[in-house]
Amino acid sequence: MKIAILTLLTPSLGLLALSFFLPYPRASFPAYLPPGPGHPLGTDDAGYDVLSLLAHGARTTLGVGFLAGSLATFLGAGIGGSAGLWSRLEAPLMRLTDLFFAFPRLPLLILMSLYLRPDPLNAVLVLALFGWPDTARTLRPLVAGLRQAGYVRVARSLGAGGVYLLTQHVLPQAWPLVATQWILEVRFALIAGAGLAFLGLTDPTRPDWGVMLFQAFNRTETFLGPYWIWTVLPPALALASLVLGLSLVVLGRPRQLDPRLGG
Amino acid sequence: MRRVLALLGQNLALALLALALNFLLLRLAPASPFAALERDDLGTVFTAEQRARLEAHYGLDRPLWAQFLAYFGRLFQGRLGESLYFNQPVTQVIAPYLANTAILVGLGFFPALLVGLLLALLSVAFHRTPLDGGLFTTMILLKSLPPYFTAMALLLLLAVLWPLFPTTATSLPGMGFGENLRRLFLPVLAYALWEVGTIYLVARGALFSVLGSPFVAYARAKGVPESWVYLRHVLRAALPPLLARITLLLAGSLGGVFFVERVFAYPGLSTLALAAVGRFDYPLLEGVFLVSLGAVLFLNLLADLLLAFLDPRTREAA
Amino acid sequence: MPLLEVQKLSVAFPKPGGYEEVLREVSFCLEAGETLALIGESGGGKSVLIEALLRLLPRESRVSGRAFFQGRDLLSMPLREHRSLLGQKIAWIPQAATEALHPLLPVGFQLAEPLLVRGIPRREAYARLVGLFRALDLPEEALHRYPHQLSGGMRQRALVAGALATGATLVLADEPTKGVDVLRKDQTIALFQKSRVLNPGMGLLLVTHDLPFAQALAQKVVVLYAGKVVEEGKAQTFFQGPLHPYAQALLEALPERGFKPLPLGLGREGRGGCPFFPFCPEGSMPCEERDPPLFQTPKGRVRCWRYGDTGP
Repeated sequence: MKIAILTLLTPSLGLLALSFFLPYPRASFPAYLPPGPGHPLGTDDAGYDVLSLLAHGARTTLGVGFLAGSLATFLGAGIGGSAGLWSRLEAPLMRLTDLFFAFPRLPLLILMSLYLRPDPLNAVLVLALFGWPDTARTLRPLVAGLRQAGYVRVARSLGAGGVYLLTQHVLPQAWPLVATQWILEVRFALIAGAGLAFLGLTDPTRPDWGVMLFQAFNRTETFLGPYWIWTVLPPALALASLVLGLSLVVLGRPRQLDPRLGG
Repeated sequence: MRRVLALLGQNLALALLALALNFLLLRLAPASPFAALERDDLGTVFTAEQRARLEAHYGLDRPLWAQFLAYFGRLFQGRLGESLYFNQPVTQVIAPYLANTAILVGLGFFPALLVGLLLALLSVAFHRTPLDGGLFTTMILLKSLPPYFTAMALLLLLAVLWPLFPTTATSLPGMGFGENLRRLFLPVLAYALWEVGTIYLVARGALFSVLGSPFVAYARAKGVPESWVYLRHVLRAALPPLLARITLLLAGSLGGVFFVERVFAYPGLSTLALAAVGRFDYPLLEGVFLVSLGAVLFLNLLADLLLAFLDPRTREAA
Repeated sequence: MPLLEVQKLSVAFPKPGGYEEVLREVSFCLEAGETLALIGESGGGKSVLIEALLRLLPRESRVSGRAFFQGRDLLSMPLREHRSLLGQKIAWIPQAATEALHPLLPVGFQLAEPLLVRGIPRREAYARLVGLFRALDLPEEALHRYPHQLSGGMRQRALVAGALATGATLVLADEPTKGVDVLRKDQTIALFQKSRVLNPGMGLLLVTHDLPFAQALAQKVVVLYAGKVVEEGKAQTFFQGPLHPYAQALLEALPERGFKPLPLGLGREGRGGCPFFPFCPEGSMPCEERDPPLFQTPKGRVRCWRYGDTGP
């Protein structure tokens, strides 16, 4: 299992590292060069070297994914934890969570793409906004349960305040769940972020795995010849291996995680 | 009847919220958003006339509250403005693309529903056998892959490497019915495969929770044959909340449809949305937004109504 | 041959740290045409016994012993054979009427189901039910209603009607008078009595707390305490004067005889000695240490040291 995870995660990390050694992609080569000397992965429809696109794209894709995922986890843990800890906040906070959860995402994305400049920071914000309810919902019951736990009540009766409880009692217990959620949020952000790019709703001028796919699928010749092999497969496989790797990491963790079934 | 109105009210609230957001976003920008358009880096050029038309349409020169009223008035009349690029009323432009998307969703969803339910029933009936385990794992895998992965994989396998089907789903005039079907097949399959995983898992969970109920034991004790027990008793009890949940799923899966459409270049709403974004066609994009919002909210309402309809207990609980 | 002969039936459920024995080597006989009342406190395993006979217990439970129905062991026969008996030769009146009925199917259909499955035409099945409903003071239209539209007592009576409609030879009735008011209880008694006339071989295993109800119908009584049979005898003599102290306490708790607090709980578990000892007004030497066997007396069998020799 661990080997599988490592094998799956290495390409992404490797590409990220590579991005520091390869020049920023520029359209200075002939288009659709097959993989060969000088261009290990060939060039795309506009003459960009695929490998450097992939490497620099790793920065954007992974960056957005991890940032958005982390932000979502932070928000979700904060809101979910607060809802669990302070019963007066529970109802309004959960109502808010449900609102964000139920809000139709696609229409909102369309709207946002119209009014927001398509730069990565906005993408991070939007993705985090969609992602946090999940963590909040998962965390709240746990924290609420902890609140009732024996040792917590004892601590409270001895005068422990909210912050102390939070740091000394709740956090150590909730930490494993939060960690698992973080991985899931990152995974979700990666998929959604690449998806956004694939739909063309992000900045097409920044190298990004999703954008690579977007460009490839926008060209009719992609599938008429062998071009897809080096314009479609590399970003797709890079993304797939990363997502799968993260899924395996989550699966491998002990059962704090309720199976993510039932939608 | 009162119940229906209450449900309508809830969904209406959500709708109003989204619409208000739409309204605000445009107008809260510091300057006229269209000012930037004359010189954007994608090469689109707006004539002064077009800009004037836009501003008149949105009434940006009038006070905010007047705009608000005009906005909602406009909406209720169904006037969504004119597309800048196509120079036609937005509703006219959207209609055919909407129809296409609806066809894709319809053709894909119902088989997925039937198959998902059936497999879930099988899984539950053959619980603790390899059949259940195998199905379960397969479905989890299917579900965890983002829809564009499944779509791309299908594309590669069945259209490129082994050219059974065409790679794009665009339909040209003059194509016969059979040819059109061929083009539809892969996108529909991709969408269905993605949905079936989630439906299966939800159905399986619901069926299991019903399985432990006392009336199942009572049915068995009456000598009812096992197949009957599953079909008549277990399924029947699980169906109301299940269908409601699945309808909500459908509402949420609209995003997934967009991905499938893109992979196969299927001329549905996503194509339109993309074109509108690229060309800064505000009215058109707003139209697409409203349509997709309407669809989602309609499905939400449908889910609530289904629940009330199928479960006689909720009918009276109102 | 007895209609139902239970031999050393034991049931245990898994529990953290081992198994909890709910029934311990319970044995009794029910003859054709006879009504046997199984008496004991709630949670004492009476329903479990019925569920064991119906093979409805969870897979993890441990069941041992035999239960011969017309000579064939219910517990070891192939499942298909067992299932074919249910709803035809053996009928069940479950205890929790509310949960036993499917919330989304009409009551009439559910009650007629065992008949419909056997190919009996709808009209005839419903006709039978209508007759029984009338005898139980249930409106005919209740057949077309959903369970939640009927009161608890009505549901219970409906279940009684359903079981009797099958014409089964063995009826397992689990608290058929739960939640039923006195007037309707009398009607239920009358109905059971009538059924015995119409279906002469019918054996009725009546699990109940309702002692007057049991008295009105039973010919034989078996008392369960802590999962074991502690008394068994003819109903007539039993109700005039039970032998086991627990049974005596039960009878004394009846309103007619003045309320006396009834010792709850299953007594001492696993400590050797008679489980009733802590509550027994007459407990003495051997009771604390050794669990008595069933002793035969002229009035029936009792599991109490007072009626037998303590032995070596």
